[in-house]
Formats: sequence, structure tokens, C-alpha cells
Amino acid sequence: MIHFQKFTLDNGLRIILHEDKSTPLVCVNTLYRVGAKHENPDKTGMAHLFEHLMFGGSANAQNFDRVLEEAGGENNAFTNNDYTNYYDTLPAENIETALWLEADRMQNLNLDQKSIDIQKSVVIEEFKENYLNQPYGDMDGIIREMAFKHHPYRWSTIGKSIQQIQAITRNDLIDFYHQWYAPNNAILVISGDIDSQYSIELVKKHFGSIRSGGNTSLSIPCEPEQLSKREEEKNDDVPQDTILMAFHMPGRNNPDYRAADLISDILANGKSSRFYSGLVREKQVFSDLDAYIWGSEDPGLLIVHGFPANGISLDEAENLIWEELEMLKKEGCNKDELAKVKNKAISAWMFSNIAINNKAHHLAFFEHMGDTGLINKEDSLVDAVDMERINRVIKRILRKDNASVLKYYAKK
Amino acid sequence: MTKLKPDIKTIKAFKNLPVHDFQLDEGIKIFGFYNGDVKAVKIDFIFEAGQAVQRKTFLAAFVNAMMREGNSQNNSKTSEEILDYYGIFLNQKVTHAWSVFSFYLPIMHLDKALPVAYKMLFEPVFTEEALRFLKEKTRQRLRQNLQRTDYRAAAYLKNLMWGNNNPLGFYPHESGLDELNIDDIKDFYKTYYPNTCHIGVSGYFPKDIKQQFNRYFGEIPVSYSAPKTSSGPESTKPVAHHIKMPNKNQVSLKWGKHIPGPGHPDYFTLKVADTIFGGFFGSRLMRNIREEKAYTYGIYSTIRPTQYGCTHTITTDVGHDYLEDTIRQIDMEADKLKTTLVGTEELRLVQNYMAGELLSVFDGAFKHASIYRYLIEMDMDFSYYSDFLNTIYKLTPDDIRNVSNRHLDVKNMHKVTAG
Repeated sequence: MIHFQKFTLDNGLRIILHEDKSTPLVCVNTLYRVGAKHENPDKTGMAHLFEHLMFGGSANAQNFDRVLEEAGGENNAFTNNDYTNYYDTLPAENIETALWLEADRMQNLNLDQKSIDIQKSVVIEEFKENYLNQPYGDMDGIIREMAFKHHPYRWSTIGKSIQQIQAITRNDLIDFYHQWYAPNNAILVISGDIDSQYSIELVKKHFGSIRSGGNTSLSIPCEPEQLSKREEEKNDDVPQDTILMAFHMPGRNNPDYRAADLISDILANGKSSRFYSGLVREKQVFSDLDAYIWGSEDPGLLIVHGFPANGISLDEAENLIWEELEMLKKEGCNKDELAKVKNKAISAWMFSNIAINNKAHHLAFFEHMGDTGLINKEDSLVDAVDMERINRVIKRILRKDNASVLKYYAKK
Repeated sequence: MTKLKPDIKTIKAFKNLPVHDFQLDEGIKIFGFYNGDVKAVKIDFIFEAGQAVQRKTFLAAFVNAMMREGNSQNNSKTSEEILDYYGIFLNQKVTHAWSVFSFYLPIMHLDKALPVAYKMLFEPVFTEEALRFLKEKTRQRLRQNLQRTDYRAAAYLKNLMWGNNNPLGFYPHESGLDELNIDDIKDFYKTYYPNTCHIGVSGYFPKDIKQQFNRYFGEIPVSYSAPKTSSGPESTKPVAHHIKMPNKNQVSLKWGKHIPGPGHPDYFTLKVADTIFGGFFGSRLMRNIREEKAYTYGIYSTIRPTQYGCTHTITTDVGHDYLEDTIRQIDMEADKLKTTLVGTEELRLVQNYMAGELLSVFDGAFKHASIYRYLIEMDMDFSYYSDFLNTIYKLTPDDIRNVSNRHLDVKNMHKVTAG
């Protein structure tokens, strides 16, 4: 049971506190409810670029990282399609430094041209390092465009292209800051070795006078149902052939979401899973075969990704995967298998709630999704997924009409 | 909102969780770190069977992996089914010194995990079939890795730093896979496994944990006397080498050499100097090459002490056009530390940053257990961290300059680039 307290400031900032006395550290986690899906399709990459700019200093703290380091702390951040999350971990006695820094960059961020130019270049190098220089680096972008025609999940968080990142202007970024980086669009979580009463006083002192921003509601286009199978092929200088299959699945708040998550586990989580024990270990037709879900807020994807063994073509590989999926659809999942993936999911959930930064992130995430208390219900909700639901969701998701299949060939 | 920066408090001391030390009936050494907040436990089985004692490339990693492929009673699938069914996670890892099997489980399934661990670790069966299977899997992954600039450069640098005759320097050629046979696997297991076992337990564990361990592992004799490798790193003149890899957008740069490790009177000071140089996000290299010039997403200088020697490496990935100036800047930053005194404000910042980093060693029971494994490897105890903390705050700008002149020897590093 994770105990927490929650309150809201007049400016709309939501605060969640969680005491954990088993550590000498605190984590200050700030979630801004803006991600790549809120971007204009012609200016993608902005949310992620903005994450970089948040480290460019603010009016009273010229260098965010340096001040935090001076307090013995470390920080990091990530942007996904749904939101942007920042976390600072530091010795408990220096908690005020982190709050002061976060408050200053929430209202007085430095957005001068120099900071923007530098961070744009850094992001472009990141683009090259992770998306161009790596074998298969463009795969995420391709599968997104295949699966999504309307919803903004069709582009990666890094952005569609280097050209689009380059074209973002200072005014675009100032507008973005004013629209999204305001207390009423943020969730602040403090976890670790804290005194709740003292922490509340500190939060009020540093965040209380920040003005709330405007309206942040934005209607995001829904993705219409996919009606037929989509296929693409690509040839590139990569070490070996690979196949990627993407299936549309429900979003995070849909009761079928957890069923889809468990289905990906039935397929590929652990050495006793269907894919591993059947196709990798026993038949040895794949050297690797994985299945996982995105975990996105809006309806997202269940992905199957495989490297066929030597001598197995991608067409054969695809057939072998379909055979396995058809068998699961026809026979349904068995009782022990469902019990197993549930036990595993519940155990994994327990282990993911031990480190203070994970707990802080989860608390912020569930508050963002509308119910912080879900952090303590996740295990019983997983346990409640029954056979009827699993088999129904299997039949609904793992269909050819619902699939996008990318065959990625190694140039000979 | 206040404009004034809050006062920063300095860390004065560390408090570690108490170590629960005990031995099983035939001598297996156990250490434990207790925290009852969550009913979850991590059990590490640690063997002195790392890369440093392998006679062939890939051998240590293969034995570690093959132990999971079959054992006396079950075939491996059944063990895997038990682990999966009860939500027990098993991570395996091979380092220079150790081969480690870490079981993460809800404490209520302790009685399910221990028999599986016993069969897997103490009654493994090695088959030709499993060896073939793992070779194929490894071969495919290796082919992928060898197309990565960072992997290629790192493997080449290791080879230069440790030499062809030291197991830590073996280059991962595909032919090394063909040369492994089942007898190598069996011999290595016999020599380095059951008799070198340590167990670490962390998180929630019951009072009778010793009896529970004794039921399964009490009769396993240990001697902790497996042969060590005798050869240290080969001393060679520094080599510069470029690995040409067409169609890459970036070049991976990996430089490195051996330096004195913990135990040497300069060690703590050198760690501080290296942190200023390239050891954290606010380091001089990072500020210069990422934040000012935007040549790269990251650049790091790292000192890594192990039982077998201590290495100092510099690593980054940069666009082709930036390589030449990046090299110039690295040399320039190293020279600057040797000639110009570091400012007291910068030194103060790094002292506090490092104190915070050391404090994070004491973040919860699992972290304690990982750190303690390292302390066993280095034959040290928690006082190492207190000594480190005390030394950090005594250092002056002169100390940093002097130690840089003695050991921050970038010019004599092996220099590998790939791209």
C-alpha cells in the first residue's frame, strides 16, 4: 500500500506527497500534461525539444543542472507522446533547492536564441545517434505512419524529420511554453524521506504565486478503425532481416487495456511464453521474438517484433507468427497460462514500486489519468481480468485486418 | 516565489543499513540487508566465475547462460514455467569478477524459488543441443552488434587495453563461437562454480531465512579457492586506430588506459579531478562539447575500478565533421586541468555532487546489496565511502592540478574511433 496525500493550490497546481523513510533521498517529480500528440503536424518534435530547453536556465537559476548538482542531486526527463516528465533526485535535506528550481523554470524560463540554437543542434545529434546511425533506427517512425493516418501518434516524439526540428522558431517555443507549462497543467509529486507538513509549506512558498495559464484542452483526432491489412517493405544496410507487426489496441483507461497487456505477456513475456518456448527455443525458427504494448493513453499499439533464424524468410516468418496467433484465437488461452501472466504482472508491479523515483512517476501518471488511487488498485484490476475478457480481446486485436506488417530486409 | 537560492546543506556522514552476515552448514557465505516495507525479496547467487578467468572468448557468459537451459530433474522449460507462474524474475549477469543470478520474488513464493535455484545452479545439465542453440542466438546478436560503431570501437579498445592474452581483452570474433565446445563449458563449471558461491539477500526476509537456505544449499561445500588468472593487462605503447565503417552518420570515439585504483593514495583525488573533467553532466567536457558546441548528445570520462585493474576511458559519438575539433577540445580540457587551478566554486559544486552520488549508495536494501557485492570484490567495507566523503571535502585546487599532472594522461591513452 502506497500512502499519499494530495492537495491543489489556487493556481491549479496539483501536489501529491509520499513519505518513504527507507532512503536518505527525495524525488521531486513534475509532470506536464503535454506530449508529442499535442504538436502541430507540421512542427513535430517541439515537445521533446522543449524538454531540452527546460534545462537552459531560468531568471534566477542560470544553469538548472549546476544548481541541482551543487545540492548533491541528479535529474533527468523524458517526453512521450502523451506527456513530459521531469524528476530530480537529491539528498533529503536539500529538497528546497529542487522545488525552487522547478518553480523558477515553470514561470521564468530562459528562451533566448542562443539556448534554442544549442538545444536544437543537440537534439539533431540525438536524432542522428538514435534514429539514423543505428541499424533499424527508422523502424518506429515507419510503423507509426503505417498504423496511424489521423491520430498524432503517427509521428515519433523526436519529430518527423531533422528539417522540421530545424524549422521551429523562437516564437513557436514561447507560445508553446505559455500554453502548456503552467501550474494548472502540471502535477508535482514529492516522494522519499520527507516531512509532509514541511513539504507543503515549501511548495506553497515557491509555487503559490505562479499564475495559472490558459485553457489547455485540445481536441485530438481519433484514429478510425483500420479495415484492412497494411503491408510495407524496406531494404537497408542492416545486419539481418526483421519483421514488425503492429495491432491497434485500446487506450489506458479502457477496461480491455489490461487484457491486451496480458496478451502480450502470454505471447512473449518470459521463457515459458508461447513465442519463446515454441518458436525460439523448440522450433528454433526465430532467434528473437518479442511482443509488447506501448502503454499509451489513447488507443495505441500491440507490437510483435521478430528476427527469424538463419534460412527462414520473412514471408515464412510472418506465416509462423500468424499460425501461433491463430492457434491462440482458436483454442483460447488456458487457465494456468492466465494465472501465470497475472501473477507475473502483479509481481512486476510490486517491484516497480520500490524505488522512490518510480513511485513518484507512477503517482503523477495516475493523477494525470484521473485517479491517483489507481496506484493501489492496479494489482486487483489485473487480477480481475477473466478468461472471457482475455479471449474476447485476443479475437478482437490479433486480426489481419487490424495489422500493419513491416518487412525490413538486409541488403545483400 | 523567492528569488534567492535556498541554502545548500552539506552531507556530513553516511548511515548504512546493518549487514546480516552468516554462513550455511558447509560454509556458503551469506550477506543480508533487511527492509520490511514491501513483501518482496531479491536473492543474488554470486560466483567467482567472471570474464577474467575464462580461457576462451565468450566462455564465462556461455556457462552462465547454459545453466538456465537444463538441469537434473526438469528440462529448462519446467523451471521457467515455475519461475513465470509465481512471478519470480531471474536476471543474469557476467562481469569481470562475477557470474551473478538475481532472483526477484514476492516473499510468499520463497519456497517455490529456492528449489528452482538449487537445480539450476547446482545440478545443471549441459547439452550439445543447448550449446548449439545459444551459439546461433549469440551469432545473430553479435552480427548486429558488430555493425554498431560504439560496439566495434569498445571491443577494439578493450583488446588494446588488456591484450590478446588476457581474457578481458579477447576480441569477440565470430570464430570464437565455433571454438567453444561442451567440454569447455563443463570444465569451467566444475572449476569455478559451486565452490565459489556467495549469497546476498535483500528486502523482506523471514527470521528463519538461514534454516530455509540450509535446507537447499546447506550441504554445498565451498572453498573460495578457484584459480585466478595470473596475467595482468599487457603493457603496450599507446595505439591509435580507426575502424572504417561506411554509411554511418557519426563516429564513435573510445579512448582508454589503465590507472591506479582504490588503495592508491591518489585514487580519491583522481576521481574528483576526472569528475570535473568528464564525469557528470556538468563536467567540462560535457559543457564544452555538448552544451557550447553541440557536437554530441553526450561525452563521458569514466574511471572504473575492478579487482583486476582500474581503467580510465573517454567516450562519445560525434558527427564526422566534428571529430577533429572534438579531439582538440579533449586534449585542451585535459591540459587546462594540469595548468590552471580549478575555481573554488566549481570544486565546491563537484564535491557536493559527488557526496550526493555517494549518498545514493544507501538508497534502500537492494542498492545496499549491489554495492556490497562490489565491496566483496574489492575486499573493502562501507568505510570506503566514508573515507571517500572525508577526502573529497579536504581537497584544494592545488591537489586537483597536481593529481591531474600525475595521472590524467590523455596523451598516452589508446585511441580508437569507428565510423
